[in-house]
Amino acid sequence: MFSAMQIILILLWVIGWGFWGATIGSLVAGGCTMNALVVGMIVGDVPTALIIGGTYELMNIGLNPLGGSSVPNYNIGSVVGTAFGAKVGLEMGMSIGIVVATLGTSLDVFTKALGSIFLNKAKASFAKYEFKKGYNWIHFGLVPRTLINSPVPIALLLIAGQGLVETINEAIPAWLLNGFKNAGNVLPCLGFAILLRSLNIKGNMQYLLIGFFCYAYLGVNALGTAIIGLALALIAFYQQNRLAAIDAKLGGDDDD
Amino acid sequence: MTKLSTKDIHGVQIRSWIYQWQSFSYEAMQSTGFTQAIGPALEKIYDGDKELIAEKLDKYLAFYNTENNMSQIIMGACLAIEETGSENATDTSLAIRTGLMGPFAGLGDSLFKISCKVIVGSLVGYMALQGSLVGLFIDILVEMVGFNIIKYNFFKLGYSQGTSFITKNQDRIKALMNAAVVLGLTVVGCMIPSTVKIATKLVYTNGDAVQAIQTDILDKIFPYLLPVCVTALVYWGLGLKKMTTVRMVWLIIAAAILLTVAGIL
Repeated sequence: MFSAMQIILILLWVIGWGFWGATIGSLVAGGCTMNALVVGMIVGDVPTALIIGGTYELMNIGLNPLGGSSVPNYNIGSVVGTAFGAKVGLEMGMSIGIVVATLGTSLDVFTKALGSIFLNKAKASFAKYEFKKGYNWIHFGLVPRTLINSPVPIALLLIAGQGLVETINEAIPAWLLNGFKNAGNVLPCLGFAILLRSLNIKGNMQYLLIGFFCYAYLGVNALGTAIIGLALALIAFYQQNRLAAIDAKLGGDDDD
Repeated sequence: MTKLSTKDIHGVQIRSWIYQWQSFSYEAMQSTGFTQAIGPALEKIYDGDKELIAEKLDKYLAFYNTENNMSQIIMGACLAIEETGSENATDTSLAIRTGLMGPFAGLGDSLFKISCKVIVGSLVGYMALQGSLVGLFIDILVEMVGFNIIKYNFFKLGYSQGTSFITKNQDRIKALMNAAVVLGLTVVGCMIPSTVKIATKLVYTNGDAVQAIQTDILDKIFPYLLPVCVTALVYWGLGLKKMTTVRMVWLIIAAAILLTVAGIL
């Protein structure tokens, strides 16, 4: 289904981008779209890529791997989803991508667990006063993360290509695929729910209502709402600064 | 004791720039990356005293985890403390590192991860769906250029001023975090109805009259009632004991399939 050249190019991108992300830093906000765009160019279907990347981006909004935790990996999802989406249709690609993203969590846990090996090697080297060697073991720890986490599953799935899709087509009935399609429409709410749990929602409900009103009743899109949000944020910022200044002044008077 | 040259300090800064995933493990998290960043400088400062250097490196391998932009301030401050070469420099440095990693993670995550994702990420996704790459371009500017400028200056800040900068400006930082929450919540309020697509296929039949529940009843009561209710339900579900993000994904997929089969979705 995919030519050898396409598979190689996709893997080179995934490894390179993975290495860049593990050192300089990946795109937190636009990673899915970036992955989808590049893979879309390689397989020759950018419009599909943008729809899949954009959809995953929105599902991904609240999913932050904070404190070393693991969340569904929509970055692998968008690579696989876009590659298959271009060949066998948007909806099929999207469903494959969601499943791959969710399964990707276990690989993330696995590669993080591998880190202990390198930690202990480094500790042992330091104890023997071989400092350079110790640092090198620590650098080596990048290898499982950049090579196992995404490239291995992606390579396997792309090589399985045709066979995989045929199996899915034969084994999976239409109702299941429709179910996945609906799940894809519902899943963004998970991101928002997680986000609302991490933002301080108590005492801030009013802003949620303003945003909702903008879209539901005025038809203003996200960018337009962000302008109102920015205005509200500035008001809150100046107000709190002023309050802090007054507090400081009152505190100062007490000292006199 | 040897003084560090500008080149040594730049060396630490470059290695701390890329520290985050260097041998990330569950027991030590980012301390491996921290150690490889500060290690060569320690070797220079305590020139030749191998036992002392090994002991210090081992101490630095204790658990450390924070947000990676904020981490630059901690790294700069720790380097400055080590450079004084005082007897308990490493203990002081570690106390600061451990004391600040929690609050800094909270601050950094809310500013550089959560808010960035809500505001820029929704823009990227939204515009990509409309076939435009402008959002992605803005994100590249913000994260690849903006965040790296911040990272560069944070290290310098930590190195030259220590952590006093943060304690001095606590009120302003709190106000900034609060402002980011306000902007984030406003955008999320708009994103819930615009991206969560849930509509029921059920119809209500009463004699000859057939009414589609979605268009004829729900939409007339309240627009986007289902997306709001489902988001609230998931929000509540996430608070349950033993609930994880991954379990919630499978639950949502299972529920969506069941409801599709039942003809409700």
